[in-house]
Amino acid sequence: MELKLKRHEDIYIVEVHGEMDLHNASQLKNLYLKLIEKRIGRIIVDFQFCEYIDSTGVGTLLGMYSQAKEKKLSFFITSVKGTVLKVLTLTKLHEYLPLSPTIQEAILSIKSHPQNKES
Amino acid sequence: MDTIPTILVDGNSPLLKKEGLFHKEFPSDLRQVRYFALLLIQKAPPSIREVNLLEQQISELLKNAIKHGNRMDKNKKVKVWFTFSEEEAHVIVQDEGEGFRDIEKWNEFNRKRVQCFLNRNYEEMAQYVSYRTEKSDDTDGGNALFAALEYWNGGVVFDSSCTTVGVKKIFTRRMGIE
Repeated sequence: MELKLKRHEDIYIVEVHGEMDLHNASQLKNLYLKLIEKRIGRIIVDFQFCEYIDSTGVGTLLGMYSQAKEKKLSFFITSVKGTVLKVLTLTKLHEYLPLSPTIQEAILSIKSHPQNKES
Repeated sequence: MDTIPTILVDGNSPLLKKEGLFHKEFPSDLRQVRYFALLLIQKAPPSIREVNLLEQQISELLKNAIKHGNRMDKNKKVKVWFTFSEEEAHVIVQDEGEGFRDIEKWNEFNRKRVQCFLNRNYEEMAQYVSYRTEKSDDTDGGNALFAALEYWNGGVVFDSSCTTVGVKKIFTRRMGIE
């Protein structure tokens, strides 16, 4: 797995490339925690380049989402497809997690909620 | 009527019958789990549906056996019996651990989780998205068995010692004219 960090105005986009599993899921979590530490309040995790996730990876996404709720961050997971989407659907988390079909839609949703802006 | 599937304990289940299945043994090495799963699905017909998801689900079973069953003890093995056809996948995984003793508790937890989902009560569902015990660590997602019970639509059955699990997936036929 490789992570690439991009930025759209004050929204940070983390691209997940490759396969996310128990051997590397902590990398995503650590990067996320670093962003929160720097008071980044608008974060998108983009899965368009990710082909595989295991239960550890799913657990990591759950942890990130619960932290986002707690800290009232704007947080979206975008472009989930293929096996990754099937795994999330099996666990019934596709409706629980804040999934968005595309980055563009996630950005629009974030911008339409100015109250979630970083403090 | 309770239609939410549950993990069963039934030593006499046909899902635990090993006769006629292929057999392999693996060391308790978490790093190689995906490789082991790939070795198993080599026996699957090429036309099988969603082979990546099948590999993912088998990897989760092996991970459970190595981590929660054998507790990563290198002296303990994971034994697998398996067969694949275009109609179904049947896999039995046996570890050398103490057995999964929490099945009743887990089923109850899962029932509440699915109920929240059916009621679209996502706020309450937050309490049930990850099954954790005092032995859970950071790399335990606590969600693998939720997916397993959905994926293995022919059943998830443990033997009475709860060290052996049999699972079956029945593939839905492709629609359309051949």
